[in-house]
Amino acid sequence: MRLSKEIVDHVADLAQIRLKGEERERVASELSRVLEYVAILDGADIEGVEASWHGPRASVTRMDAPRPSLTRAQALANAPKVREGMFQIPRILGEGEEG
Amino acid sequence: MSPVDDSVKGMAERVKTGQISAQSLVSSCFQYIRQVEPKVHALLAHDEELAMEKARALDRLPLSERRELRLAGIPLVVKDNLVTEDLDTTAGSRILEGFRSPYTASVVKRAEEQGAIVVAKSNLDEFGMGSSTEHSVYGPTMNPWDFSRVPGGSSGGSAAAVAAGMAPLALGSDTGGSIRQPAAFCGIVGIKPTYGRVSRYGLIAYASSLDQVGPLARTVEDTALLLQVISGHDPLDATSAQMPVPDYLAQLDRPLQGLRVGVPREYFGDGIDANVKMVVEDVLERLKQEGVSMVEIDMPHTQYAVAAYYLLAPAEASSNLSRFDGVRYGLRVPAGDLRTLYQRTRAQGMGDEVRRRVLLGTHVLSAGYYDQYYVRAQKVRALIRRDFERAFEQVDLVVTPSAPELPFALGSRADDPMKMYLSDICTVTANLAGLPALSVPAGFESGLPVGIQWIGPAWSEDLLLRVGRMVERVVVRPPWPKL
Repeated sequence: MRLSKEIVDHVADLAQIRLKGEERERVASELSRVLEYVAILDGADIEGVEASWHGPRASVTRMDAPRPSLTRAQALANAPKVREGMFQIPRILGEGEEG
Repeated sequence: MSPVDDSVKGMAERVKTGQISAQSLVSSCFQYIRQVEPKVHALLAHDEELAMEKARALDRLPLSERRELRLAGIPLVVKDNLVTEDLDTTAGSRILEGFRSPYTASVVKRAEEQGAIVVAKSNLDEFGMGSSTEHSVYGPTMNPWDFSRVPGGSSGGSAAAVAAGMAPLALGSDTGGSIRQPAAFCGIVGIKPTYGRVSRYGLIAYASSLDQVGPLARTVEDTALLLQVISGHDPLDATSAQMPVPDYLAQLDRPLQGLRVGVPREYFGDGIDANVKMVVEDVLERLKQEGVSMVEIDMPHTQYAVAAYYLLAPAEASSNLSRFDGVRYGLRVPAGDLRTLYQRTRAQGMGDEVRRRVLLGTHVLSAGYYDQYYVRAQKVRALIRRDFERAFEQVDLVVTPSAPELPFALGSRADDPMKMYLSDICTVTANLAGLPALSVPAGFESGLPVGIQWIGPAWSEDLLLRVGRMVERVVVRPPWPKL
């Protein structure tokens, strides 16, 4: 199945990746080729098969108990922009501001 | 000259007893790295001064403490998707350029607690996505056996460093073959442990239900030693298993009697290079003479494995990589609004292959396509697992080539994603089924290494290593490349 440019745009929007004009073309044809290949799965008899969501291990839980973690300074150490001990992002309410 | 002149056990023994100092071992290691690294380009961040400081500290330990360290003074290379406090971690991506983790991966900690000295981080396909180490923003790694060829991937830097003799041990990660295929291409040993055998804490996640960390080394014994050190439950990884870890080294030479090996037709047919097939079949012939029985088996869902993998792994990646958004760490491309900031940061920070997989994964999880692709692939995954369960009712292990081809030329497939994906045809099944799999050198063809892969039931690493040891006895290997 050939992916339309509309679908590629929608997917890029969902993935929050900006694609330039010529990239959209290329991505559409590369992804289409992979989707053509995976169509081989249509031949698998999956009637009545339970999906396998995990590795060999089922989900496990642990006690919900506090334990030591990163300090605020450590957590912020790699942040591109910090303000008053918090991660800073562009304003999302009201007027835009350089992030 | 390479400082790797003995088994890891032997080298550690000499350090423990003071015959050589960790400092001289680490310093000769860096000396050699300076000489060969420009030809191989296997390494990323390194800090000689810091490594020497750690070696000095180890040399100052009282003998009674030093002799307890299984990896005393052993130089170790760590794939750059395992985070380290002491060295930058980039995952081969521009989006993490200059990133310094506030914590260290559990596997690295465990190796260091046993006396290993991390000498460098190693090159990889960005975030582990690739089969050639060409998808690294820091440039490709060369195969030490032939500089015009790829070392495999994504743990190509780790494999090439070990084959080149820069360090005797390396850590890698394997989501669809990323330890085993480069081990095969570089003529060394690599094992992907059972899912849950080794902690993933501090491994930058690519596809969480498939990822496992594992060792790469020159011999099965060295591999067993590092696997021993990194295996076992870690409270920081909820998927790590609370299972006892056998003594792999002690069992290594226990004779294997009445071993039954399954030879699945599907892994020896179309798509497998005739030369690779010949080398692998020759090893099987020799093992028969050692008393191993070979049983032809069918694993009918093998044909679907690559397709299922390239739906599931990108789906998980699209979710895992959403954390790289320019807010908490890594690259940020400023913009007036948050959405544009995300979109520009991710577009500029992620390389072509990563973007491709994130977009593919996003598509197969999106409304209207989820059942058609994602759910179907999960069902096929169950069928592939069932193939193995059925096989293990008849045989102890399954044997296949580690890769469908010889190491290919640099640049020959970088522009053909689908062809690159098919390099993983022999290895993805073990990840999909969560099973342990070992690649050991099977021989050489036209001067290039060929690997043979052994897949076992869950938690059968001990058996795989014993078989690997047997393969080492029947395969004649040439001297390591002189670089």
